[in-house]
Amino acid sequence: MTLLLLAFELVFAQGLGTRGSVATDAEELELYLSTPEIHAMMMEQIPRFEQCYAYSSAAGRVTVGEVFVNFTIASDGKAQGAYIHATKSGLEDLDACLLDQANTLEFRAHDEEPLEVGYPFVFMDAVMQPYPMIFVKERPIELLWLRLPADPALHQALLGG
Amino acid sequence: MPPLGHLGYMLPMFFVLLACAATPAPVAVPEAPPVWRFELAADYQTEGVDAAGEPIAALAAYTEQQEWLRGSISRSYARRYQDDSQGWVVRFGLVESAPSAEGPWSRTELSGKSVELRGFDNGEVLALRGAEHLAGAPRYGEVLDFVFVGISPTVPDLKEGESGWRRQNWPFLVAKQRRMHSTLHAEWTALERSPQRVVLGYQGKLEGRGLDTPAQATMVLSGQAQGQVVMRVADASMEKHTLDWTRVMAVDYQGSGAKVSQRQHFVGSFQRSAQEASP
Repeated sequence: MTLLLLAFELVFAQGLGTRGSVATDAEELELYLSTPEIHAMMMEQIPRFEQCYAYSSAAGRVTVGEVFVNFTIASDGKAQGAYIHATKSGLEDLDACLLDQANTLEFRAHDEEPLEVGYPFVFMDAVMQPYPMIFVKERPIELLWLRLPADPALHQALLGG
Repeated sequence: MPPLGHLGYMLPMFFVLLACAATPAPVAVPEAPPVWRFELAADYQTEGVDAAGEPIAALAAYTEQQEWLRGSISRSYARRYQDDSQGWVVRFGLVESAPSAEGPWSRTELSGKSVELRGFDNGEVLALRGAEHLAGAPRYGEVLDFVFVGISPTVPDLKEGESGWRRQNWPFLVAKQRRMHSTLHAEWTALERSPQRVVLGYQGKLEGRGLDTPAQATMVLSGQAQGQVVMRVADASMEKHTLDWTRVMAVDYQGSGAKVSQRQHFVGSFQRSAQEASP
């Protein structure tokens, strides 16, 4: 049995690489955060926002509406700088609670600059409706292959339109 | 029950497993990922005409640009692919630029960015994954893509005084419709060879083609490259690479009818650092 275990160890040591990498050919190496990944991580953490609605509902205020919150995912994966982009709640304490919770969100460390993200908290009768997408501000990549700055006049002259 | 009892079943299985274990070639993983420090002087000369053949006024401010770059770059083993190619994470450390050799130096957005470089042991680069995070102003990773060749040159095995040709290809894909494929055809000469190190010189030409569908542009690259590479014999790692590369990127914008040509000239070196990156 010892020999068998040794043989298994040899298989795993060489087949999986000495750093324990098990990534398949198609997988990303998690150097950066993708939008679907950010959304999935948001959905995992969404229960923490439900207390804001529960509080509001318990206070006898049945709410229907949407609060669009923007925040930044720093390179260490922690959310920061949350602010209300738009609100239809009419309840300041609810909005403040959502901001407090948004600033506690954690994603994962990544190699990009801090990412600006927007998420609409949609609720009906004090029940939050998970939103099927998250809005990630994309970095514009316009003129490529030339060492030229992001100059609108230059873009107009070269790209036309 | 065979005469050897359970061992009768286990011994053949053991040898099968042992054979499986030996199938993937052992990966030469360095103890700590190597780091190279680099210093580059770059100058860019740009000219362009519009559809009517008139000079593009908006380019006037950028006809002559110069910058100095310095920083570090590391390479860590990540994985082996089914075709036996390997994945390496190439990560920029702090990268600074300055308008002159004296400074003032400022951090660039290339700092901290990384890509997965997929290639073979001989230096051939098959793909760069995550290159879109390096591309475009103000990062200009697609202009500086030669750094990946800079730390991973395809070097022939030559005796002292011998010469040989090598071709090195590398792609830069921002997306399927935004890509460039470059090639260096170079003649290499082994200038010195000792049990510890090999010094090789090279001289050759650069070629490339690409397309940028969103910009309705096609690109043609041409140029010359020369340099000297010092390789460590023990682990075939690159100690130092000094280079002088000039390439001309000609971009044809079909949408506007504009044609722009930029001469990109780089002189500098990559030097293996005593400081290793964190594994």
